[in-house]
Amino acid sequence: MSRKSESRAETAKLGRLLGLDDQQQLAFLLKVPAAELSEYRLAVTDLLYDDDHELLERTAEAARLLPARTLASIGETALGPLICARLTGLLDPHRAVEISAHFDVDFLALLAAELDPRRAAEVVAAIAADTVVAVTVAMAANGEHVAMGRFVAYLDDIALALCLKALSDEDLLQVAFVMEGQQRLGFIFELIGPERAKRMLASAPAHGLVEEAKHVAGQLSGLRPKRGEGA
Amino acid sequence: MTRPIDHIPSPPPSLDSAGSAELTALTEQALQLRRRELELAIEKAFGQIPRPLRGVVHRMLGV
Repeated sequence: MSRKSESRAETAKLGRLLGLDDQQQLAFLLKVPAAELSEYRLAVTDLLYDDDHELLERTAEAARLLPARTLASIGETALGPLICARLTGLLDPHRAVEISAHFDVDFLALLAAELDPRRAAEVVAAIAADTVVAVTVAMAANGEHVAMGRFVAYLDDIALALCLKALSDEDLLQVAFVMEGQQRLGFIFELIGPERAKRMLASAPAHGLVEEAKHVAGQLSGLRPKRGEGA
Repeated sequence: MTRPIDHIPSPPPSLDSAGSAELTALTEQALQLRRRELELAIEKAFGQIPRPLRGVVHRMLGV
């Protein structure tokens, strides 16, 4: 795992957060240490999600007046995925799950791509596993690997295992490259088993993902207990 | 009217001044875009709220 690849992973996350289609716009960040970029990204996340917080809180309060189906319809046709994502963390989690049941999978995938799971952990955990898998597949099709990487820490083991099964090796490697939480990375590799892990890393050159594969392999070797460190 | 932004986070310390200015500009742009999107979305949403509830929701939102 090189410093350069760590910075590239962080730059990709920041680019997604800032809504940039062209990652080259942030090429000047590749020389900045990943820890500094991570700190900046977290501060910007708070800035973007806390801005207009009062208005969003009042909107969430007003949402109590309307039935879940009506809210889902307003969410899909008027508010859009970004505002719905910001409202998700402000609604009562049960209410948010109830509303989400009326969204179609494609809209949920767009919403999830904008969601900060730290602010909606209870909602993420309460979504049915089959819905999580369907949303995961839709997000992968949209190329939302950075956003998917944010969710790994918040999925229960069953939902995570089903998602891993549903993803292609190529998608999984791209998610692993940018995902948050190294410990969960070790668990993912336990779940997929050594054969798929080898296949995934070996197929990386064919998908243009050599740097991603090296980065992930480096992180994994850092997780393995060294001789004399116990079982 | 564009509201002022006075709390953009400090850029990473090892970034040079040109890079810092560029990153700050991109962050401001993202924030302004989100603000515009929120204003438009709430305006659009009012059209879909059942008529008898619109006044109450309007008052609750204070918009």
